[in-house]
Amino acid sequence: MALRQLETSDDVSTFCSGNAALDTWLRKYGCSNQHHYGVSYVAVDDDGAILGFVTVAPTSVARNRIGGGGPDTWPALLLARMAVQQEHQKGPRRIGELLLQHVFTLAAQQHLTTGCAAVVVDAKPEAVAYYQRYGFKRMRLGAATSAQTEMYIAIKKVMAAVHTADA
Amino acid sequence: MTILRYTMPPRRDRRDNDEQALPERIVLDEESFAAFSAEVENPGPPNAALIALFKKQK
Repeated sequence: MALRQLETSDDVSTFCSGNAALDTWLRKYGCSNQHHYGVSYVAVDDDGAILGFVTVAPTSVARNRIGGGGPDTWPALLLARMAVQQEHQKGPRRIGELLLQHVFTLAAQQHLTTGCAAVVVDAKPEAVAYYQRYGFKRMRLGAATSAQTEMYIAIKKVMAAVHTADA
Repeated sequence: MTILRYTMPPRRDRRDNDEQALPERIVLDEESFAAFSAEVENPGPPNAALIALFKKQK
């Protein structure tokens, strides 16, 4: 199994996570959006079949007014979409964990090179508990208009986990 | 270079019906932003699941 960026030669037609919106997005826009709206990474098996994908993009978290002291905007990395092929969602290969760990690694690199305060995810209702398990918190948006729950985890917490795991 | 006028760009705080759109900026109310800022500056320690995520991938 390998983890790499999505390529135009990848066969996205058979990917099926069970989430129609995510599957359709990968098929219709995954390749055309690559390096424009964000970057998608895929976990592939030895035959090149896509086992899962994750899309990340730069974003920022801002306060709704200027002034008042302190920063007004924090740079962040958006975990925009993540999905695992249906038959591997509960398997021993832990594709989702591999993809999530990769997102954290990208965020850590961004933190050290251009600045990144947090990883942000727009979690679907059924995914909220999954992200909470790793320490993501709810953002409590003041003007939420989406059925999805925006959550975040501080990059400093991720870096601390890396250091603890390495110790 | 002379900046003649500064105009705040339109906010795309949330994705709309455009299935390709990603939020370029997430805008929080004052209370939520303060909580977010406090957390990113001084987060608590990572939990066991987060630490294990990196141990498994080593």
